[in-house]
Amino acid sequence: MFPISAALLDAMVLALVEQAPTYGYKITQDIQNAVHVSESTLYPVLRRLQKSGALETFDRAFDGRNRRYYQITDLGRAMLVQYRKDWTDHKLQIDRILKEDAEL
Amino acid sequence: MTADLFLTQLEHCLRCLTQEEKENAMAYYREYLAEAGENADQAAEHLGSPQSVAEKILSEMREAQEEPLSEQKLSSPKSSAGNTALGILILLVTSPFWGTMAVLWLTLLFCLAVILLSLVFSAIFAPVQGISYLMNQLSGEGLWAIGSGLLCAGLALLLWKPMFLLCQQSTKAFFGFCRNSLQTLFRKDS
Repeated sequence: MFPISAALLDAMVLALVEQAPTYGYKITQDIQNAVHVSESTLYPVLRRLQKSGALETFDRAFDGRNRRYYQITDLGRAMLVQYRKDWTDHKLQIDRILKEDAEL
Repeated sequence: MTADLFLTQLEHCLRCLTQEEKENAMAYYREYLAEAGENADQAAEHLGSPQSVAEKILSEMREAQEEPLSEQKLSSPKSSAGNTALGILILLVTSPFWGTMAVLWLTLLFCLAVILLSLVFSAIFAPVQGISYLMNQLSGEGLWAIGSGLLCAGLALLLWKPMFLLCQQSTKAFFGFCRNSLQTLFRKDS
């Protein structure tokens, strides 16, 4: 219903990865449980965050194959702090208008 | 679509990327489908067409203004110069054909213009001449000239609209033909 912007997607992925290093399939599932984005959206997001230095990867063997984990960097944490602040401000602005006893 | 087919097609769609970028993306999607386990085919279905998955990766790179293309694609300006040369050659070789079309079109326009102009001139000057005949007691010639002048005026009134439409349509057809031919010739460049 509400479109998810690229920035919001970045923020959500950073928040997921901040909790613990995790891998692409898991991230996709977790994001999809919360909002409706297509499965193929996540790779470009992860790649972008990795390129900008917000995430880094390491590989672990799993079930006879490789699993690539993403973990957050200090830069990623700093970005997430800013995203959380921006999101809180954004949410307050929307709520100011939406709430039933609005006092503008 | 099965997971295997998806990966094969995706690799094909990503062939313009550098080896490293392509391998990263392929590793990601290979792992992704392996994670889905026995539902891999279904997961591949959910991902959508390999073309659209590849397009998402490419458009992300374009937005970040990276240079996603490998040397293979980078060499394409050369081949597009080749295409242009080939296009010009084809244009020259086929010139008898489109040249004839152009001549036909111009002739048609010219004929229509001449017909319409002569009708208008006759409609104006024949009655004037007729009146001067009448004044000189030449009533037969005078009436004939006035009559033919009125006839021309009537024809001009009847015909100017169809003629105008004919000009318009033939012009449209001619330029449409040129545009389509050029687009076909130079499609790879645009």
